[in-house]
Parts: sequence; structure tokens; C-alpha cells
Amino acid sequence: MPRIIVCLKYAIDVSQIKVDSATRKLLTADAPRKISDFDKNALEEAIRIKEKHGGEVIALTVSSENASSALREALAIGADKAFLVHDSTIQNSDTLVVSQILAEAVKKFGSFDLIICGEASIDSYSGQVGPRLAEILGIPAVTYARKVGLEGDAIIAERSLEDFSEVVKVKMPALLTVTKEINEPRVPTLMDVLKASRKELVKWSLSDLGVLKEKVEAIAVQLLEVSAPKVERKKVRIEGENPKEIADKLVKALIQDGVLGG
Amino acid sequence: MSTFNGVWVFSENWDLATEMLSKGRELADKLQTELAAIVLGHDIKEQAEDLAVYGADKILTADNPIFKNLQVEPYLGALADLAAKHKPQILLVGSTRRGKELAARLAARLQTGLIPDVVKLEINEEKMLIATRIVYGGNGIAVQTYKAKPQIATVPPRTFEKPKPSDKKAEVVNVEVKLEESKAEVVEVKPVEAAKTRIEEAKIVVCGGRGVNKKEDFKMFEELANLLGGQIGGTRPLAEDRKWFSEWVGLSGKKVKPDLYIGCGISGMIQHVAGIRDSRVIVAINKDPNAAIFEVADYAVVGDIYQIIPALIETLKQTLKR
Amino acid sequence: MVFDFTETEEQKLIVKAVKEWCERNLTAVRVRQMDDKGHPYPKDIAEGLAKLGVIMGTVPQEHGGLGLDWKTQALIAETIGYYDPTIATAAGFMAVETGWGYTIDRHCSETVREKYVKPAIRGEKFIGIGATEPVGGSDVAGHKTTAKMEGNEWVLNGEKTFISGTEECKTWGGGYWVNARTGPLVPEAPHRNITAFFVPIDADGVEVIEPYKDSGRMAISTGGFVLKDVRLSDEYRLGEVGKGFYHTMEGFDNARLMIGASCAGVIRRILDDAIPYIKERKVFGMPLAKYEAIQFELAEIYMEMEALKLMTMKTAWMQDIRYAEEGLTVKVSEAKTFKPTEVAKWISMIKWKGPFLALKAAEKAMIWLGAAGYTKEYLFEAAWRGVMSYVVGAEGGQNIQKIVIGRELLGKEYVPYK
Repeated sequence: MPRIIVCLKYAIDVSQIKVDSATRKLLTADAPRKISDFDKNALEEAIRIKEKHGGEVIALTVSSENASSALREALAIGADKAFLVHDSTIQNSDTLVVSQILAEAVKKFGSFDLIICGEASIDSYSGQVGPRLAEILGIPAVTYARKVGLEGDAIIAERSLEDFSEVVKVKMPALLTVTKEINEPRVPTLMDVLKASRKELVKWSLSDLGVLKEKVEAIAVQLLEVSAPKVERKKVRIEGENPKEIADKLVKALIQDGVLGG
Repeated sequence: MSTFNGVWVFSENWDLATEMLSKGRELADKLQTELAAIVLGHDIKEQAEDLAVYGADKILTADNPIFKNLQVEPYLGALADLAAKHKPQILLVGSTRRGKELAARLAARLQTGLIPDVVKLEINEEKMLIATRIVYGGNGIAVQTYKAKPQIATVPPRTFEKPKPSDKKAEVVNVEVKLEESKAEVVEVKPVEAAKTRIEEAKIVVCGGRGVNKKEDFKMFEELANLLGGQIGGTRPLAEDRKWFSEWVGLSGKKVKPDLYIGCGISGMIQHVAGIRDSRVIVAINKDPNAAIFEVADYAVVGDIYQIIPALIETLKQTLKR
Repeated sequence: MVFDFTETEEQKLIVKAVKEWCERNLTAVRVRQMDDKGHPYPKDIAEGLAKLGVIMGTVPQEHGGLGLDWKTQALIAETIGYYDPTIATAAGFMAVETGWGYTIDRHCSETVREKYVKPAIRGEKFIGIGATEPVGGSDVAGHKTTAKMEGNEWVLNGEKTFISGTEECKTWGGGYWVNARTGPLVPEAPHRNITAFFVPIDADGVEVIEPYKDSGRMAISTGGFVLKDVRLSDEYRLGEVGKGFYHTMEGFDNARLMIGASCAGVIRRILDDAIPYIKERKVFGMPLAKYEAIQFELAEIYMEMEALKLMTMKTAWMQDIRYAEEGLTVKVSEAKTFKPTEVAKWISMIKWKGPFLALKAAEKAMIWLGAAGYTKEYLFEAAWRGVMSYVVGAEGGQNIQKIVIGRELLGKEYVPYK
């Protein structure tokens, strides 16, 4: 009967970001937010494990915004309880700080068997919080899982790596990050939505967790600026004496653009 | 108070490690400090020696069977130990999936910052690292810097070019490192099955249009797509008129938003263009210099696809070494 | 008077769930296939809709529904209209099954509820409205179907035509709301002495007629049935003897509310499909969207759509209060009085406005897009053909709606026909 904590990020809906055409600044403050896509896969997997093995699924979000609606959605999808750590001061926090706050929340829950996160968030796609959280809590991490099963007190996971996949067995408590190939997140039924209103949604402030202001301000990475990439097409003619020259020039340009990368 | 010194480079992928050395050298020179490559593995004496000609001042190497399975914890234990002892100011880690996990755990252990998947690295006046990366699903370019050390960044393959081998050889130093066992038991390693991504989610798309003479000619597009890890598609006339396919890329068909789109023998009618607009980079190859597709292309090649595509395949085979 | 238009958190999540389900299952490609192939309605989608919970959501939870209010159900209908702009899904499942199904549930016996209403909510059977007759549709009181009491059974005779869903009903099982004259015709008050019944489609004496070749909303069938000495126990009576006409008007109210709401979604979908094209397509060097002629038409349709949405919300709000006043569905804290006829006026307004506006939007979209809009690559022509069925008369002809409004403004004595 595993106790599973699912970390959900209240991420920016990147398809809805508007750009100030004059300054090319991204108007992220106005962009709507949603549960990060891969985190939905994480939640779905947690619920499937619970459907198979029993237990409890707890949804956890740390946000500078009021993410109640997202957590209510998580309850509708199937989480049993939801916890929101909401504090506007964490607006500029980096992954170092966020993972520390998450760790404090996890410690407040007491025991757990599994923490599941998405492989990375849909907005910053940095993939750090999961492994960082595992390190702080001193538990093993299994990243990029595309298939997961429980066997006694261990999890068996098939991980998607570049050229091959690796099946590993790890004793719980452990942390898992999942890829979107792992499952198709369910759509809650309207009955599920109605039931969600009766489930527990707890809000914590940073002081409830004993996280001090100094800790929040001690960020290790600072954002200097974020702007929109140029939209005009380059319209560069690639010319050459022969096909090989053209091909070489083209490949070089594409490598420079980073579209042939890993 | 001890200061941080040195630029380090690490990847379990040797090509990636080599590539990072070129940037590493540039950063080390700017900071007037040493560049070291960390080489961890089992039976890797030769690799360590090979790496020594690519511009590092030192190769710090530890050879131990604990590194055999390429698991994260052994690398983590060794790097954390070395970093605590020698205090590098910058650490570049190759951005493979293992590398990303390793870098994040390392950053947590060292209570420092990590900027992943950088496309550009520079040093500012305060001698700190500035990193540029793509965020918001491709809709944003973020510039970030560090407030702690070591400054860790992960670097994707082919972000930097491999340096030319030099006559100067780095000093290869065997180091003692803390040996940390992995808590995961590797049960099986199997070749990856082709991810059945939908073309709408493909990162690379190679598309053929009316300039393609026979359906069989799509084989060369397949070869190109396979080399790039992408998918092939066709325009609507190929599906509806020629009945070569049942689906097509376009306004009324599938809309794609890959990082790279290569349109071959496609004129660029609005119905097709509407389906590819959100591609990050558009390459168009067409015999007709006035083809409409060149209006929306980043790279325009006026040429015969039957000559350009084979040449492209050759060049890529060389570059990607596959 | 305070109107708070904020959606509750629950309504937002409900609409979101319906949107997500429709995005996966009612894709443009699927909807086009459904319209091209025609009836019967695909069972997998009907079952999916049922499992999601959108069918008959307003039926109380004790009866197998979700106990939603009409405001929420209207938002659901709008979403369904958006994802199936041919309006076939809204026709079969919002108007007929939800609008009429709710009304059937209000007036039926426990037997009919267990055998037909609850299975229909689960997507297993189809229940609908059989009102129109060969003699006419609008003149409900003038219909010829009769029901005579023989012993302890009712014997029904008559014929119903242009009935939605007969093919689905025949294939899946289910039945229809049928009105029959059970008492003498009073010339000054022909609406009296009509009783409503639930007729199972497989009852002895029910003969289902082949469906018509409709021009639109192809995925749902339109057929008919003949009743030849169909014997029904009194358990199959709906509501009170002789009050059938009033119960039927209640059914039309609920169904028409769903149609008005669905049309708002259809219109929004038409605009969402047209706008990217007119922004992209250039003519004489300028995007179509920059030409005032097109922009002005777009603005007009948008304004009318928003008016329709507001009217629909107010109508749903009135319907909720009217039912609450009867102590039946939603509980409200303040007692208000909306006479059924006053609600009917609003319902007639949206039933008239919705389909007409949707028709106009579909036509304009085709004109803006030119030849491309004329093709089946878009759903404009399918939307036009579909909503036309609600303009010509399904769930009530347009002119009937105007008479209802006239009656409320001027007084009963000005109704031109009895």
C-alpha cells in the first residue's frame, strides 16, 4: 500500500505566452498557467500504481501563484489529498531553493514510499528538481522512466536513455521522473470533478514549513533576461559549386543553429 | 577562505567531452586559469590519453570497475569529492540524460547552481559565467548567471565544435576518488525501440512534395530522416492525387512544429505552409528559384533534390559518424 | 439585481474535462468522418460521452444523473457544439437526451426510470422526443395520435414523423416521449386532454420507419414510427392525465435551451477556424483580415455570439430558479418567481437566435475563405447543413418562437392560432 507523493509544477502555458512587439519582451506574468504536461504523466502513473497496489496519492505544488485550481484538478484526476505551498516571495527562486522547499514539505508528510515527478517542466525544461530533491532527501533517483512496476519493496523501472533503455531495480523509498511515453493521462469524468470538491486541499505558507526568508533569497542562479527569439525567417541562400559544398555549408549552419543536437 | 579556480569538463560520452574542451579552453584562457578534463571509467587509460591532445592542461582520471555500468552515483561521488578538494570555478557536464541527472544531483550536493542545455557561454566583467538557453518550449531565449560556485552547466552534443588536436599534451594525473555505489541494480540493458512519436510531435521532419518523381524515391528521405532521428511526411497532392499516402502535412492534415523541417521539391502553397509555420528552422530545397516556399525558409537551396539529398546524407554520415 | 458571471472552480474544471475529452475523441477528422458516413451515431462516442458524464447531467444524482444545474449543463452543451459544429452530437445528446431525458425523468414512473432513463444516462439506450406527425409539427395540440384506456392498459394509435434518433433507438434500445389525445377535443382549448407517454421502441405494435435522407447533422438519424394498437400499462404514462401539453412545453424549454447553448459553441468554432485563415491569406498584398469589409462582418457575428451567450446564461439561470421554486432541483437561497411562460419567452429568444446566427456565421466564413471555405476541408458547410435543421423547425420552428415572444409581450388574446 504505497504512499506516493507527486510533485506538480504550476507551469506557464507556453503556447499562450504573448510578446510585446516593441521590446520583444515575453509577457510571462500575464500568461495562463497549468499543470506541467509531464507532471500529468507522473500523476497518472501514481494513480495507476494505487489502482493496482492500493495506497495513497498526494499531490504537492510549490508556487508563487495561487495554484488551487490546478491542485483541485489533480484531485479530480485522482489524487487523494493535495498540498499547496503558496508564497509570492518565491517568484524568483531557482531550482536550488524550490527543491529545498519541496524537501521541507515532504519531511512534514512523514513517511513515503515513492515520489514521482515529470522528467522536466514544460516551461523551463531544466529537469533538475527531481534529482535535487532525491539528493536532499538522501534517496535514490530513477530518471526518464517509461515503464514502472512495483515488486515487493522495490520499483522496477525501464529508463529511456539515448541509445538504449536500461531496466533498473531500486528499493523504496525512491524518487522517479517519468517521460511522456509512460502513459496517457486520463481525463477526469464530471463525477470525479464533483467528488474533488470534497477532497482535502491544504495550503501552507513558507513559515508553516519553517523556511526562512534568507533561505528563499539564497538563489544560486539568476535570470538576467528572457526575450522572444526573432520570428523572421533568415532566408539565407545556400549556394555552392557542387552538391557536396552546398550540403557541407547547410549542415554547418544547422549545427550552429543547434537543431542537429541531441 | 579558499577561492575557486579552474574550468573542468566531464562527460561519460567521449565525443561530447572533447567538444566541450574547445569552449572550456576559451573560458579558461579568459579567466587565466587551468582547464582540466575529468575522465572516470573502467579500463579507460587509452581514452584518457586520447583526450589529452584536445587542449586541456590536465586530465584527472580515475579508473575503477565501479564506473562500469555508467550509473550516476559513482560519477556523483567521484566528482563531488574532487570538486570539494580542488574547488573548480566552472564545471561543464555533457548533457546526456545521465549527465543531466548527474549535474543536478551534484549541484544539490554542492549547494550550487546548475544551468542546463546551454547554447552559449560567456564570461562577464565580474568573471562569472553567463549562459544562454532556450526556454518556454522554444518561445523564449533566457540569459542567466550564477550566484554561487562552482558554476555548473550542461552542454548538449554538437553545441561546440571539436577542437583540432594539438601537439601539446595534457598531463594525465591518476586521482583517488571517493567510491560511491549505485543504489540501483541494473537488471537489463536493451536497444531502444523506435519511439512511435506522432509526426505532430516529431523534432525533425523531412517532407517531400510534387518535385518527387516516384514513391520509391522516398527511400532517400527515409534515410535522411533516420540519420537525423526524424520522421518523413508528404504534401497533400501526394496523398490525394497520387495516392502514395493516406495522410499529409498541411492545414487540412497534420500540423508539425519540429526543431528542423526540410521541405524537398515542395512549392510552398499556403495550405502546406500553414502546417509547418511553427517549425524552428525551415530548410527548403527546390529547383525553382521562385518557389513560394523560399519566402518562409531560413535556408534556401535552389537545386535538384536528387543531387542535394544524397550529398546531405553523405555529409551527415561524416559529421554524425553513423 | 446582481449578475455574477464568474464561473465557479467546479464549472471551470467541468468545462476543462469536457474540452479535453472532446479534443481527443471529437477531432475535426472524426467529426468529418461521422458526417460523411452518416447515422447511426457511433456507439463508442456515445458511451464515451456517457462515461464522461455529459448526458442528462441535470438529472438528480439519486436518479443516476449528476444533479448539475442548467447553467453548468449549458456550458457543457456549448463545448459539445464547439467540438461538433455539425451539431449532430448536440442534437442527439444535449437537446434530445439531456433536454427531453431530464423532463422524462421528472414525470416518469420508477419502472421507466430503471429500464430506460438510467441506461440512457449510461449511454446504453437512447430516449427521445416523438412529437411531429404527418399532419404537422408546430401545432402540437392538433396532433392525431390517440390513447384509449382499455381495462388497465392504454392503447395508442398514431404516426410520428421527422423524429431524431430512431435508428439509434432501434439499434441500441430505448423509447420515445409520445403525446396522445386521451380526452375529447375542446375547440376553444385544444391543448387540453392530451396525455404524455413513454413508448418503448420495441413495444408490440411499434413499427419504425426507414430514416430520411437528411441534408445535415448526418451522424444522427431522422426517421419515424407508426403506433398500431400499442398497449402500455399506466406505468408508461408521463406526468398527469390530460396535462401532456404542459409537460411537453416544459420538455421543449429544456431542449431548446440546450440548442441555444450549443449554437454559441458552433459559432465560436466557426470563427476559430476562419480567423487563422483570414490572418494568413493575402490578397492584393494584404491579409484578408485587414480588409474592413471582412473585419466588420466578423465583429458583428462576434458581438451577436456574445449576446447569445449572455442570453443563454440568463435563461439557464431562470430555468434553475424556476425548478428550484418547484422544490425540485437546485436549491437557491432567495425565492424568486419566474413563471414558466416568462422563461419560455427567453428560451424562444435563444432558440430563434442561436441557429440563425450559426447559419449566418457558417455562410460568412465560407464567403471570407472563398473556394477554400467551400471545400469539405473545413466544417463550415457541414455546420450550415446541420444548424439549418434547427432553423427549419427541429425542436420548434422559428416563427413559433416569435409567436411565443409576441404572446408574452402582447397577451394571450393576440396569439394568432390556438
